[in-house]
Amino acid sequence: MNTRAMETQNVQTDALTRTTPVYCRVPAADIYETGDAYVLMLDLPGARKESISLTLEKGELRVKAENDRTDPAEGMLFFSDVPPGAYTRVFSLGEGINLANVDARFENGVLTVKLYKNEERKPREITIH
Amino acid sequence: MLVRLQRFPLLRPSWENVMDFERDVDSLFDTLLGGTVVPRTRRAPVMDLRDSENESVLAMELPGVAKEDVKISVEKGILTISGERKDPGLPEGSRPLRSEISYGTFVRTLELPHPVNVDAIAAELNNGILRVVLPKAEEARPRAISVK
Repeated sequence: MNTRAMETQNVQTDALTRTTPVYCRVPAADIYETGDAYVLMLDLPGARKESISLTLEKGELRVKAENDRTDPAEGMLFFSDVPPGAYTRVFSLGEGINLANVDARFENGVLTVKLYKNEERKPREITIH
Repeated sequence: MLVRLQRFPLLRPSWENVMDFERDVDSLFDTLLGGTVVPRTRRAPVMDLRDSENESVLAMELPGVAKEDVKISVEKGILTISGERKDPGLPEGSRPLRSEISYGTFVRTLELPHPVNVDAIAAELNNGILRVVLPKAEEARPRAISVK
């Protein structure tokens, strides 16, 4: 009975003092605006197409991906200056984006996402009568 | 990270020390802040080096770099990887909103940690990772010594 109480206490202390940091890596991004869309480019070297998750929710675009650059089976890691952790980045989307129509492709470690504007946001020529 | 770099001083050619110092300071802050990482630009590409019995494997991050724009050379035990990340440019009539990705030339050198069979070095570029396999020269491979 006494030992059990001790065990429970240990677990709680452990949860409170746990100091292992959770790493995530923020990938660099370029964004530009064209006449009919916003284009987002993200550096995700080492990601595989299947490991990239791209979610649209509550006006946010979430990008997550694993970095599988080397296989531990290839030997002991003896040097690395690659920041640890999986790629994670969240973008808030403004008004006027057509969420039903998003293009994404992954090439050479760069993810390109094209978010099209709603009709009313696109530039229009006004004819003068 | 600080400790790791000091343990392998051979991997640091002296002219790169300034950059390494900057990286050390950055990684110290990363550690202290529990992994808050600011997007980085304008520096030598980062890499991993793995070591096994018969070869070392280097994996360098080169996103957006074309295969034909990478140059690898070995001279007097120094491996040099250089090249260029070409700016794809913006389509006409568009307006940049954020520019964190750096384009242009890059170079990184490292002293090979062991003699390498230069003719058998193989490299491939996939998903933005340059993988260079450095087979160990015969004299660098582990050998069992029999006791007489």
